[in-house]
Amino acid sequence: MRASPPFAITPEPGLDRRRTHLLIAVFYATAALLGGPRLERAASHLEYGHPLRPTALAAARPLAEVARAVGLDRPLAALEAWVDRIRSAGSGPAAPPSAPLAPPDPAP
Amino acid sequence: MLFPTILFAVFFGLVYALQWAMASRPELRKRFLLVASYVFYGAWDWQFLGLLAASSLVNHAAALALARREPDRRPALLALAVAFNLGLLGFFKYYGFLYVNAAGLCGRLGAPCPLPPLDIVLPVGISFFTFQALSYVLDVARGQLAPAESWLDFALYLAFFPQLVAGPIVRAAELFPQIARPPRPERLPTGRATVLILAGLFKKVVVANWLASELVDPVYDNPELFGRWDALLAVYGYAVQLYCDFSAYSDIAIGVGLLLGFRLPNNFDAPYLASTVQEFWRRWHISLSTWLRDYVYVPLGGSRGPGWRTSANLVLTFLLGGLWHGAGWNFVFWGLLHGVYLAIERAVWARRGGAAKAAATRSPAVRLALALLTFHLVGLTYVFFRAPSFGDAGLLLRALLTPASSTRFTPALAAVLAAGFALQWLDGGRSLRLAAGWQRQPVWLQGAAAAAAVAAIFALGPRGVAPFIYFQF
Repeated sequence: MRASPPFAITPEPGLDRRRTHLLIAVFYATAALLGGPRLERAASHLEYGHPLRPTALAAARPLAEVARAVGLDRPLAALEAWVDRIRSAGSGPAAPPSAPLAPPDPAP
Repeated sequence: MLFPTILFAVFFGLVYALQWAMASRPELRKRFLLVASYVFYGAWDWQFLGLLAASSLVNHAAALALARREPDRRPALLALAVAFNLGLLGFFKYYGFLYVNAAGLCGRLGAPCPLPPLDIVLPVGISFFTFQALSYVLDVARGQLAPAESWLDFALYLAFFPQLVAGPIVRAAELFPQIARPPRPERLPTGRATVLILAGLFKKVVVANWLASELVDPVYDNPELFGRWDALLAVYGYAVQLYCDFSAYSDIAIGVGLLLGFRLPNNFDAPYLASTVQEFWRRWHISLSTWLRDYVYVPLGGSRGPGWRTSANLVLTFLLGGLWHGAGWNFVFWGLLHGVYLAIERAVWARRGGAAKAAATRSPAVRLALALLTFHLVGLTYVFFRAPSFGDAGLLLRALLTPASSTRFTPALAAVLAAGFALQWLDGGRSLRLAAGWQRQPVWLQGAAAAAAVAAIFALGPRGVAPFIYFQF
């Protein structure tokens, strides 16, 4: 074993802080729109009575509606359908039930 | 709070905005980051926040006391500090293991078990933050590090949320200066951060989760139902799954750290391209292997003594490394196998001479052959790492010898396996070139493209996000 290379201190290309903040803001705004329908689905899967459910639904519904109105939901829906086709075609005959993943976790 | 979730996305957005708003007030920013880290940790189980705070208080007090004493008066206090940390780890992580083995032994001898059965919940990340605390007090006792300027600095070092629950295991000497100085970076490496976070999400959400649900879990859960090709695929699949799962956490942690103005050490460097087991450990979980080298292997004598002593030191170090991973004989055996591999490898190369090793590894064909051999040797050890018991590991090894055609192989699975293997290319400094190209694009395009990539990653991955494998350690 030898010492790991210390974290890179060499100058790296980067953005100044103001432009970094802009990048993060654009990222969140775009992700919220693109993921609107998925966010809405995740919010609706929260249990009735969950303290976050009304807020999550109130935030996600308008995003999902905008995404559907401008057609932003279509590419991801097509991608998900393609993945589902591949997965269902690939499940082997001898597949015993596998350990389930963690309970549905709201993912962006 | 798992990285690939909406909850973490919201949490990180808030922490990012608020901590940069406090950039001109470093003390306030430190306090805020500590509170944020405790909120992150408390999201799993708030009851263990006291444990984290107690560890911070005791280790900081011990380090201050050690620094005040003359070096010859430090050993007793250092032993107390080490005993405290190992005691915490021992109680929460190994008590159940000890009880099961003691009860089994007493049952065979017909004697009552002296240990009471306790239902102990393992605090997430305890192995990681305990090793960080241990390295801190040991470095202070050795005179290699000055104690933290304040409890706040040390508490933030121990609890810093990006790497709190699954590493990298950061040394205090690396993080203290970054915590102490006001964050005034002229430029943030956003390109590198973006590449690391996207690569990490892809590795975890698509590759690791896909391999787990479509191949590894079905085969490892019922190995008696499968033949040699599926068993072999599952062995390869788990090697790629483990790499993608664990390195994903490190990638995202490093990327998140960069966006907050912190640099965390690299933890992986294309481990499955290693041409020896020794090289594998220079590339796999680097922060743990260097920790074990500095605080276990070297104090044991390292490679200074005769050959048999070096071999014994290697085996002992990796036995402890195995035990660090989990309280089970399968993990101990996994560590033992690695220790034995290293001892044999060392003996073989010592007999052939250093020049022979250099000549052999210069040839691309020999390097490839050695890399394949190393990958398979490491893959064999993973059978014991992944299987819940020796019996299950035996069933899988038997399946490797059972003739049967594959029921799990699909072109999509092969593509996911290949993608997971190829993602090693991004380890180390190789992502920098990609990051530089990414960063040349307009800012709005970078943000929108990153968002589109994240959305596509979640569309490609299975529904739900499994916890990271290393959370259990």
